[in-house]
Amino acid sequence: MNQVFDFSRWGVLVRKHWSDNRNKYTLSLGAIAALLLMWYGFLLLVDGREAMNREGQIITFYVGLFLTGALFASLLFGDLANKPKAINFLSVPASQLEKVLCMALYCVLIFFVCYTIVFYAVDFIMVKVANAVNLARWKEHNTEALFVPETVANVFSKLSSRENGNPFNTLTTLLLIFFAVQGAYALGSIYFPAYSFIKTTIALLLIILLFIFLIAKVLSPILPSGGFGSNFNVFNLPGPGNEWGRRFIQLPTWTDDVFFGYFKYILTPVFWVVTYFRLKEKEV
Amino acid sequence: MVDIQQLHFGYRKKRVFTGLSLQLQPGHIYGLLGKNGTGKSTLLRNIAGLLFPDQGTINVMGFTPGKRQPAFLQEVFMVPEEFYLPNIPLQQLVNSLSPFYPRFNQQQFDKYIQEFEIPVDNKLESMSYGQKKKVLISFGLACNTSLLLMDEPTNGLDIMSKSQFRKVMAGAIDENKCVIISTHQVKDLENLIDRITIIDEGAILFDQTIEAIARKLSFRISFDHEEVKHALYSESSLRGSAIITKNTDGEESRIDLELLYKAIVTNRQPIQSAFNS
Repeated sequence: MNQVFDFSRWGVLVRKHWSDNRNKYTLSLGAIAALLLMWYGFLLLVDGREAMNREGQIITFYVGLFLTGALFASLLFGDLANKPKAINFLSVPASQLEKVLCMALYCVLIFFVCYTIVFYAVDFIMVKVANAVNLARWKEHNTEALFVPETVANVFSKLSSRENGNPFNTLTTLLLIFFAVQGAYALGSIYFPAYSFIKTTIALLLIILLFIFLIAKVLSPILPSGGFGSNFNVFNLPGPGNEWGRRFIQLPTWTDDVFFGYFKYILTPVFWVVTYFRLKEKEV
Repeated sequence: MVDIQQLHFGYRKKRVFTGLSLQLQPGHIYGLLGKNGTGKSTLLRNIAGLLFPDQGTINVMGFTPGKRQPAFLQEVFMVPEEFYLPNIPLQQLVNSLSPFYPRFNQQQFDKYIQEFEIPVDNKLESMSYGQKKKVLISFGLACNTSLLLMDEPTNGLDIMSKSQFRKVMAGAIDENKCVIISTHQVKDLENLIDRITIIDEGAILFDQTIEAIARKLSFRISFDHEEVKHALYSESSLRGSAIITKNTDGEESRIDLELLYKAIVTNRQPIQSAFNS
């Protein structure tokens, strides 16, 4: 039997994880549904007409996804903070790779699918409720304007027609960033077993601050006066008479692709690979 | 089966082992005795691959425990002092965990559960600490792993359960299995273990088989003042003095583990001399 990865053993591990946690997971999904219902209910009370518009639904989906996804990931290896649970987890006869892949399956795929299903279930109901409420209000006020009911938004579609030529529209990019953030919180749950969510958030903020500091204090004094354009590979320089937009330094476009490609595709697997190595060296 | 060579291990503020060596063979139940904080649990966790040695080697059936390979983990079961069981029905626990252990035997598990008088229909969350512990012990035994590590297994068990534990353990050992029981409740292991290893300050103070102890030492109550005075170890009690002497007449007495343990921890030289002669 393969000591690194065996598909049937991994299947047993996935089933065991579900068996041990299904009550907790079902309750958590119920809590997410309740929070979404409360949020939409609040929006309906505050702004009945615009509460369930397309932008509102999309923002709710992604804000909820980032918050609950990061929270779920930050609890992923929380068992390792508790000695009896850590012994139980590390003693299960499966390889470290199988354990990380099992967690990644629940964290990345199953969480995302379940969250999306719960979101759409709540969204569908609340769109119906909002339309019924708005129709009643419309009839009450008997306005001349045509009543246009809201529809359930496709949260994975392009934000606007301007994005037609771009295969990676804003929302798919946001989704890829979400998986990277989730990977960072999963790694944080191994590095900081206690108060993982708070500590990982602080660590991420410190990294962002360091990045800003590097640009502002280290990079800027070296560069001539000017500023970055819409992409990182374009640096605008002031022209004669401080005229902008005529002089700029542009690196090849592939540098931009590499930079953002790193964030989109490389960062997530990197976080999970580091998580694997951290788990290997974990002691109780 | 377990070969520990020159084990060095320490926590951030405290060194626990400085060059500990120990060999354990299958077919025996080893009693690992020692005061609180002497490193019994640390040693078990090193053997189980939950802690990694700073220096030295641990070899368990050809595996390095720290690598935590599945083939190693399915041959080792640990009953920790503080344990965790998910809040699920008993049979669900068995169904989800037993496929990892190729020699798990459901009939054996049912038998142990019956002997421990565990209500099988109960969810684990509704069981007491002692009942949960007995479930874990039953499961560990039914897995039929080559190595079974038990850290203070009788902690939290009532008097009846302790005798049930001894009975179940006595029937579970065979020539292919090795059981290591760590405890500071020496009396609980009487008539169960066949080798005693006492560790203190990270070193092995005493390591002898029960057979050798019975052959070399004599345990009895004495009222003879002279005999008490010349005993290897003595302890006065209401019904005379409990003493350990060299076994000179070849007659085997009932080993008082607690007395032996105290004798070794307080002053082991006289006892050790009986084994060297």
